Order: sequence, then structure tokens, then C-alpha cells
Amino acid sequence: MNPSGLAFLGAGIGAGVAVLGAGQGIGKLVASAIESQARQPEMSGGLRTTMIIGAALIEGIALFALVICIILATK
Amino acid sequence: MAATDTLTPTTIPSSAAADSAQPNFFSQMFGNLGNHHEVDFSPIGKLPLPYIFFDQGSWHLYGSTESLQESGIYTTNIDKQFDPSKSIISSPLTEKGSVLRIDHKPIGLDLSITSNLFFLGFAAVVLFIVLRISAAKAKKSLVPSGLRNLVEVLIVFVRDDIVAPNVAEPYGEALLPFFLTVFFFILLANLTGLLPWAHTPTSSIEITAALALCTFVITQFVGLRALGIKTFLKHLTAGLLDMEVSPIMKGLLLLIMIPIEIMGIFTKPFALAIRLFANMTAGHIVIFALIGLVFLFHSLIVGVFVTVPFAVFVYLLEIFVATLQAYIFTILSALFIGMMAHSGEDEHVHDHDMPHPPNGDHLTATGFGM
Repeated sequence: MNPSGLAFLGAGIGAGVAVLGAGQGIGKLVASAIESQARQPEMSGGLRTTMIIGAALIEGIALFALVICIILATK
Repeated sequence: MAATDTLTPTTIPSSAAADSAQPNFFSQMFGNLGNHHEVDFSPIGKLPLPYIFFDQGSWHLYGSTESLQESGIYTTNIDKQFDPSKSIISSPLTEKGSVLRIDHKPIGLDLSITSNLFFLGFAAVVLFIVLRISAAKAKKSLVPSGLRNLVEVLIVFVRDDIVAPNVAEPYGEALLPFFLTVFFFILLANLTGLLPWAHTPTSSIEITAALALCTFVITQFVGLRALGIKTFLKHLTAGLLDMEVSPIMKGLLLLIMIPIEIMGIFTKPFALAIRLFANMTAGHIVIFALIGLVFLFHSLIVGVFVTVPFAVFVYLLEIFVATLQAYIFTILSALFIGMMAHSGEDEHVHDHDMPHPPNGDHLTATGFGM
């Protein structure tokens, strides 16, 4: 197996696994946000803001892995 | 590799050499994502951007890559394939587009106008024009309408929903221009990348790192100014000195917590930079990959039924992500600065209509850190 092929393989697997973790995390976040909004509709605005900030932070971590995969795949 | 040759299209050179710098169809495509010394209006032509160097005490100015290569002092590997017999570039891993002196000395100061700078300037000019028009209209009447209305909505949004709840009073007003600048700069720079033939300035790590560096410097400055040096250093212990545990436990916990807190100071702006960079680059890569599918399969059916719908969807998603990332950068900067601007009495960031927790638990105050 030449290193170039292994690098591409690593990049593909890495990107997939990173998306798994991010999807699970954001899924839990949005589920609890919707539940809280159903319980207390008057807090809806603040909850939406917090949810968006939380989603951006989780996606930031997944994108760390994506950056490494990009470096693997193009160099 | 004979069995796989039927699958690889004829335009890709077969990767017989185990060299990761082999020209590859996708890496040639992704080369479009980088910084170039020309603006490529593809069917119409190219606009070469000047190279400006201050090197060994004298200025050099070259209008285009061709004149650079004819200069006799510099050479570059933008258009040539790597050919060791003819080129002074000694390694296949030299980045495509890098400029070298023929006598192998390092280049002093590279002030060339690249496509990053060109499109940053474009975004700045657009922003300047929009804000000037809105300010001129603002002088004429109290009732906003049209373009001025849109700009006012955005400015009031930044002031009331991002800065005011998060940054305490004297610093909130003083730093409002910074947050407005960051928000509009990132918003326009992200959206510039979606125009035809344009390159996103914020999809290069240099520019996002510079923005995160501004946030970092302002955070530390506000922290030192609002808290004083003693409380600022106390923050590094994350409130452990106030906990009632035995001194041995305190010592051990401090030994662990202080390096983690110091790292936390640096990882937060680093995460800001990488988040913005990766979000902007990822959208473009997905679109390039979808377009590349057409070339990979040499088929128009794939183009019509797969590429165009998905690429349009990803394009719309990118517009949303561009706006969202500007908002996220600004609100995270406001949160980090706001954490420093409170004069140490209560470190929770909370909505104003939620009740205060009974005892400020200092360990959870750092929960917003990465």
C-alpha cells in the first residue's frame, strides 16, 4: 500500500468519523432545546440563541478533524 | 495497478510513483481555493496582480507572473510542472506558486497584492459605499427606509443582542465599534466568496488568525484593565483558592489546573480562527467535489441530476453558513471579552430574566471555554 493511498484512506475515514461525533452531539443539543422550548415557550428566544452558539462550538470541533483530513488528502 | 486503470479516467496520470505531491485531479481543483497572484475571470481573461517585494534594501515590482519569470532574479513554479533538470526548485513539495530567488537567498518582505488582498479590498470598498450611503440618508430623515433600514437593523442587532447582554457597561460601549467592525467585515468577506469568479478572503487561515489575534489582544487588555493584575492571575486558578479542601489537594489541583487554564487562554482564539476558516473552506470543497464528479464520470446525466441540485443546495447552505459564522465569531468574541470585563463579582453569563444561582460556583464559570 503506498503512503499516498493510505493518506487518502485515512482522510476519508477521518472525515466520516468526525461527522458521526458532531451529528450525535448536535442532535442531542437540538433535542433538548426543542423540549425546553415546548415546556417554556416564553424562553424561546434565549434558548434559540444558546442552541446556535452550542451548535457552532460543536461544529468547530468537528471541523478541526476536517482540517486535518484536508491536509492529509491534498499533501 | 492494471485492474484499477479501467476505473481511473484518462486525464489522471496513473499513480505509479508513491509520491504524495503527484498532480492529482482533485488537488488541481482544490488549488483554486488557495491564494493566487492573479484574478481569473475564466472565459474572459485573467487580471494579473502585481508582485511587490522589498528585498535586500530595494523594492521590486513585477506586473505579472511572466515578467517575474523573465526578471532574472526570481522564479516561480506556478505554471511549470516540476522538472528537476530545468528548475532551481529543489523539491516536489515546494508549494505551488511560491516565489524563490534564483540565488537561493530568502526573500525579504513580500507585499504582493494577492487575490486575498484584492477581494478584501473589494469587500472593504463595498462596505464603505454601503455605510456612506446609509449615513447620508440618516442625516436627512428620522424614518429609516431602504438600504439604511437594513444597515440599521444589523447594527441594532449587534448592539442589543450581542454586545449589551454579554459585555459589561463601560467596556460594552467602548468596544462596540470593534464588534461592529468584526461582524460586518466577516459577513462581507464570507459573502464575497460566493460571487462568481471571486475568492473568499476568510478561507485562508492567515486572515482568520489575524482576526482571532485581534480578539485575543483585546480580551487580555480588557482583562488586565478591568480586573487588575491580581484578580486576573486569580482567574488562572479557576477559583480553586476559595474552595474548602485540604491544602495538599489544593496544591495538586492547582498543579493541574493552572496549565490547563493557561492553555485555555490560547485555545479559545485558536478555535475561533479554525472554526471560521474551516467553515468557509468546507463549503467550497463540497461544491468542487460535486463538480468534479461530472469530470470523473465523463457523463452529463450525472451533471444534470446529481451535481446541479446538490450544488445549488450546498450553495444556499453556504450563504446561511456565511452569515451564521459572522454572528458566531462576534458573539463568541463578546462572550470572551465579557468574561473578562465583569469585575470579578459574578462570572456567570446568563439571561437577565433567569434567577441567579445561590452560590456562584466558580468551577462552572469556565464552562464556556473549550
